[in-house]
Amino acid sequence: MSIWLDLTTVKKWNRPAVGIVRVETELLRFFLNNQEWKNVKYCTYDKSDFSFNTVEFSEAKEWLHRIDNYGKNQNCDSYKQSQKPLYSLIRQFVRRTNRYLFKGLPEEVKTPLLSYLAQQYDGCTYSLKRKLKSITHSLSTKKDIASKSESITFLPNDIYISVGLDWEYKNMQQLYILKRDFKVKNIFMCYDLIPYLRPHLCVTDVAAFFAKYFSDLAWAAHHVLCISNNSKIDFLNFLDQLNIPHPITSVITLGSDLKKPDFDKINPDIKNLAKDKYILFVSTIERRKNHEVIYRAMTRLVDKGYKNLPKVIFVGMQGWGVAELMTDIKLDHRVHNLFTILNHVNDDELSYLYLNCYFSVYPSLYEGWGLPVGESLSFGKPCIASNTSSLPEVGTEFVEYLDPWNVSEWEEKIREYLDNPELVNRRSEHIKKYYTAPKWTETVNDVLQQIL
Amino acid sequence: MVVHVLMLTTYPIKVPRHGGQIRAFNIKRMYEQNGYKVTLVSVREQDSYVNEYDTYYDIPFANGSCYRRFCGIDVPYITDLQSGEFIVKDKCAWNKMVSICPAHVDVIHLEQPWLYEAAARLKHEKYSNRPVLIYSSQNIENELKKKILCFYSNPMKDQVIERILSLEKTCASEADLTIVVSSYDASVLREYGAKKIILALNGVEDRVVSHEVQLSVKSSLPKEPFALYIASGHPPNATGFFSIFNNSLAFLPPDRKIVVLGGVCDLIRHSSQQRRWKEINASRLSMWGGVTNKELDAIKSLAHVIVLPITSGGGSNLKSAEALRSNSYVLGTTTSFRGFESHSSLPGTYIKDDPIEFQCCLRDLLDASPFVDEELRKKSTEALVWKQCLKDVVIKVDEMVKKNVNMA
Repeated sequence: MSIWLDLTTVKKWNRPAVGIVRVETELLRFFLNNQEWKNVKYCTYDKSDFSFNTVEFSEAKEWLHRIDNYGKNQNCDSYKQSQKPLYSLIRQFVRRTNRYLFKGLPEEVKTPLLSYLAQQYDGCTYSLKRKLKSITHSLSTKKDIASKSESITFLPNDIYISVGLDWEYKNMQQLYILKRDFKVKNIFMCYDLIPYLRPHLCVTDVAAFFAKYFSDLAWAAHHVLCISNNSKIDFLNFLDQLNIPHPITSVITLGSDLKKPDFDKINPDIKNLAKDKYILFVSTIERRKNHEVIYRAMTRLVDKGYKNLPKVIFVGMQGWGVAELMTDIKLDHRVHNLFTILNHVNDDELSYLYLNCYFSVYPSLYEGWGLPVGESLSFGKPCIASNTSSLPEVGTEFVEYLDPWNVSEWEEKIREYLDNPELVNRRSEHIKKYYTAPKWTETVNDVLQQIL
Repeated sequence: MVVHVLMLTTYPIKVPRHGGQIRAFNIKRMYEQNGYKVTLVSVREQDSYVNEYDTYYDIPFANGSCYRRFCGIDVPYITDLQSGEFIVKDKCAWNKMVSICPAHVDVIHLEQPWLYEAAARLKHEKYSNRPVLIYSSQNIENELKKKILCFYSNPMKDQVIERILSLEKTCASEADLTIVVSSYDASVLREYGAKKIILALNGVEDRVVSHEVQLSVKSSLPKEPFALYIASGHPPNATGFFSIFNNSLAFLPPDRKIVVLGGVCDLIRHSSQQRRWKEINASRLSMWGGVTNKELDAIKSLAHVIVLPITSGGGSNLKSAEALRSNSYVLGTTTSFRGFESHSSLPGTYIKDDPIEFQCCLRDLLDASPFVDEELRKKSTEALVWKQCLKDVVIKVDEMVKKNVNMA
């Protein structure tokens, strides 16, 4: 019996590891660093020709190193505030014209042009990114197949672990055949069912796509690891609604132990920014994350004459459904100087931002887990979070929970924290004393315990 | 003496596709095989049945005709009802009807109630010999329309149902003989006043499957065992499909498919009920739409399971008879086996009314070895061949015609 860890996501990821990617990187790190797991095999999957390809130990190590060191050699442009007029104009142009660009241009012109646009302006539309990804992925994987990959023969009872961005990179129908005909034990993750449960919070048409993904995943899986009790309940309810047999399901806890920052790896601009008092909100900027409630709470505080409001730092790339909010923030002279948006922040910078924040907020409308809440606590920082979905599982008694739609509650709670530094300090001390951040090594042990 | 029969329908039967056409086609053929001379006049929807009608004996009911509206208001799915009003009120149409009907008939065979008023006028105004009036019911139409129209908030729907009920009652009470397709329909029409009732189930035509066609369709069919659903574009066929499958086909493994044939494909494709599940369903459906009879037979011969997810509608489902005569597993509901209750316990035949049980049963059948008791099933379903189903009708009509002639 062999254990296979699929590294397709790690291979293709060119940014700092975020929640989902981190699960794959941490599993990889654990296997690479532990002699007793030296027999674990690594592979990638190519959706374009449904092939599995083996990955050498050295290659896997190299990929992990690349992600771990993301941003090390980057200059000050590794983060930017998204109000640059030229940037906005080009983004707008790309959004409006990408269909025509794709239709009209020959492949040899299209690919480099899109690559250039995407490198320069990462705020391109979702569809542009997806198309670009598929083009660049197919180019890179084809090259790989030609050079150094060899296809895999799975044996009965082999364990195949795939915990990455499977909806993007996998054909679950083929993985179902792998389970049914080759008796391979497929292990997958269920991060959340948000596109199914809250389709209005997702990009158009993604709901039907994810409904199929989750149903096929259930058929293909021997064991599904859910990242919260709430996600497990959502997943099982989904299966019951569609009359799909249950695979084995269990819950694992994601680590939230970000390493202490290496000050040499922190961009000076971020250091400067962190000198002042600020509220931190770490998350992709999209409709579901509900940045809007923070914007509204801050405008109310301004309108009521609150002086010396701290900055609010949003850390995350701009996603879907927030264009109007971004414009509001940009044009609203009452608050536009209060908000700073950082993108492409590496792990050290992120840790630094947590470490120096006054407190953090997480008003998300729905989550599969809610990593930033745990990360904030792991740095001893109080967090105000919404009372929905899995978030109370993450923050337990260490977090104050509010209705994500109730602007007044957020305004009052932020005011309370601003007016009472001692209260914030007390909460912070309490967290430092009693909160134990789940470690990624524990997550990995948890995974192995569940599946072996 | 040669018996002359005038058959009135709301569709041509030159190329019989849907259940109503197939039944009318077989009744006509049965009369002809018995030596009768049959003239079939249809009042058909002008835009339908393209190139599949007889110019002389088919009267077009135009899309823009004012008679398409019920009391001046658009109501969906009632062209059949309105064709009855059209044919007697539109002077041109009525004159054509009168002119193409034979000078002498012994029997007026009314297929479904829609053209009753025309039949009654012809009987009393054109034919002095007072021909035998046969009401050949295919359904309890008012109940069926009620189920269809319940999805629409149309202000006229109650009046429409009332009109159809009244029409059916008149047909039942005025006809000399009423033919029904199920014992349930017999009991309802008896209550409506039918005097003489004869039960003639929907039947099957045994056809030889072309090996060539089988080979050609096989390449486009799923490689894995598949289920087959054959149904026309009659709305209850889609309603049943979505209600039995709970709108989504995710209960099937990713490599299993349902092949769908007939007009129901369009209804399924455009239904808003599957919006959330469209990608799941697209991956598990193989929609063929209309196919030739040869292709239909070939696909049927290769199906692992034939499904009959019918939850509403009266009458008896012609597709059920065909399924029972096939060499596949048959999975249906109590409603789909209406009229064929005595055959529902045949080997390889399953009835599941609960959607979850239906789905689980289908999943299990698609995993089972192919159905093998073909011979036993063939023997047990001899009575389902059209000739057998309609044999009592011929005897009865013969008897009534003779009696009528003697009385005259």
